[in-house]
Amino acid sequence: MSEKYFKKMIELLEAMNSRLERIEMKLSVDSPPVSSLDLLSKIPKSHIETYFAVQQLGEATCTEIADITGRSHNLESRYLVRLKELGMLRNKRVPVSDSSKRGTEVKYFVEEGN
Amino acid sequence: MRTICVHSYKGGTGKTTFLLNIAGSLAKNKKKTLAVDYDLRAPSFQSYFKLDKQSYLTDYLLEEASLNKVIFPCEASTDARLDLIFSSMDFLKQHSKQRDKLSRDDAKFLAKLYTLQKSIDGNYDYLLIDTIPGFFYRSIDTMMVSDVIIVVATPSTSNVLGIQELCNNIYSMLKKDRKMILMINKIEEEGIEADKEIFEKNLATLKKIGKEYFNEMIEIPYFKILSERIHAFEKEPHKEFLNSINKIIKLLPTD
Repeated sequence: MSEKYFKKMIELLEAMNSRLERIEMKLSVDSPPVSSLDLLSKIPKSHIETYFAVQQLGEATCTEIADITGRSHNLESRYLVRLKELGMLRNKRVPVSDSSKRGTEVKYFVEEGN
Repeated sequence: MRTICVHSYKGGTGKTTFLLNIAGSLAKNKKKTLAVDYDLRAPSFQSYFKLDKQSYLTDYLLEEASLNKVIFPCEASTDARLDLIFSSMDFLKQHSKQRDKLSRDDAKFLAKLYTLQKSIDGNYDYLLIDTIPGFFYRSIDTMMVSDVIIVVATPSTSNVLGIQELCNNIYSMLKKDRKMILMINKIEEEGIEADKEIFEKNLATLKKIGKEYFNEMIEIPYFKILSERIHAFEKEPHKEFLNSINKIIKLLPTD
């Protein structure tokens, strides 16, 4: 096989690799963003602020959400539970972030794809 | 603070005229009011006020400007507290990146609108939002953040058919948590001699839709007035038109 032919092969393979990488990038784009229509059809108006507060913080406790919305802990707790039931949020139990205290707390986060 | 948006099936119904005149009358009655031009596809606040602004609503939505940079006081009246947010005409340019971004079905712009609402709560009594007519993601955002949605319709056949579709598809979802007002603007009356029968038929259908889907309904007679002005700020306002505006204001909830 001549060197010239070999070089041409390498060039072609590199070009193919580059195209495959671009395709891969397109396919691996994050899941589509939540749409306003999704929220309208799934979430009552009063709960939307809670949803956005969780989204803003990444993951958060009920107290942290209440601090952002300015509403009571009890009310936010009800809204978070409802959003979880609707499949818009998930939760997990984690050790409390304050290392001087013992015990666990519940953190809410946005479900993948929501 | 109460948030009110004015929506319609199509343009030319008088949506902006009513929104700004409601805003003007509220401000004249000592209510601190912020009016936002969210009709990105056809901004028109600049036909009422001087447009020499540097920052617009679109800049705020795309996080290119802070909120305080896009709010401007209305200088048309010294004894009324009316502030304004304008929309940029850049949205209409052939290769507008802002338009590409803001046309997406992405709830982050809704989140941004909620942030705006929360940031100004306490500073204003009323937030009034002009919307894009029809079924667009950004007009859905504005309706979602509102306590009251005023739908303006004229008794034309296209409006009647369009409003019926919007009721079936979107207003029915929104009305669960919001007060819906149908405002029938009888501007078609101008050409009533041409086809009175169609006008009456469309008017009757609109009223039926109003009773079925809306919490309130109000009919506005046809006035021969220059639309692009705020009558509450005029030395010699059109009194009948102002009376109609006040009737709409009476339907709005207060804190």
